[in-house]
Amino acid sequence: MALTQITAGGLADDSVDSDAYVNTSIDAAHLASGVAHGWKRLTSANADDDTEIDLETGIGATYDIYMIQGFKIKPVGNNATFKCRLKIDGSYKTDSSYSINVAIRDGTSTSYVAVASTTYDYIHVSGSATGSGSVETLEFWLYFYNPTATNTRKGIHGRTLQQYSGGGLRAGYPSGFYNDSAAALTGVRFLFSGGNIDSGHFALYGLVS
Amino acid sequence: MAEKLYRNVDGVKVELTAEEVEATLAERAADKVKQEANQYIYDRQSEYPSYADQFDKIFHEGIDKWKETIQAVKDAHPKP
Repeated sequence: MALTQITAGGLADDSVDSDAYVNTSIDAAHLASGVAHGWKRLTSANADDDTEIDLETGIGATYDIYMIQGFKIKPVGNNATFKCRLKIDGSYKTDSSYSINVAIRDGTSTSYVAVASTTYDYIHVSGSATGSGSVETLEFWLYFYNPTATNTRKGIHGRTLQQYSGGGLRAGYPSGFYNDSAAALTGVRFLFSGGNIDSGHFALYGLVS
Repeated sequence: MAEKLYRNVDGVKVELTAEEVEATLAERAADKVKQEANQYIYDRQSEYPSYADQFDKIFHEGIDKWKETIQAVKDAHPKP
């Protein structure tokens, strides 16, 4: 990073602050491409009674870290499991080769409950059922790395917050990976058990670290 | 008429093929059976006291009192 001190007119009253610098390593090309050191939104989708949400655009070798944010996610049917599947080697994997672990804690409990398995056919994101009541929603932040590598298993990890009936909040810490291939990851799919995704906003971001 | 289902790919709706609809409905049916069979496990897990509280109960009140506490949760959420 190249820093240049502001020596005149740096402050509102035109005085000089000896601690004021400009980062001159961020040039117009960086700003235009969005690959400067900040999150860039790559794609997004608003659920509207959809069976599945797929996020694919922008996944590649450009970014070091990818993040998917989901807000106000709500299932059509009550008490649905929120699932994630990975597109590996060109197709969304549905066989029982996902290794998953999710720890969850209710607002009323002092201990964590874990769901763990090496034979799931999806990654369990929320760890418990998501309700469809008026106040119930699911929010999540999920991360993945090096999607184009062909010598590592591909997975995601992150955290969730679930507003459940009665006004409580449930915190979750999911992680999971597909354990039967090291091929490139080119998409991430979300779906609910039992029915469609009624509503919610999904967005994929990339970061150059 | 067959049910219409849609996949949302990067914000664009795409109708599922008949084969995909069939697979989706089959998965949902299997999920329902699994969820009904396992719901008691999740219900019990969220109501058991923390390990620290359980050890504390055993230390202060003995194994039988601890068993009563655990049994009450099991009775409230019986296996189907």
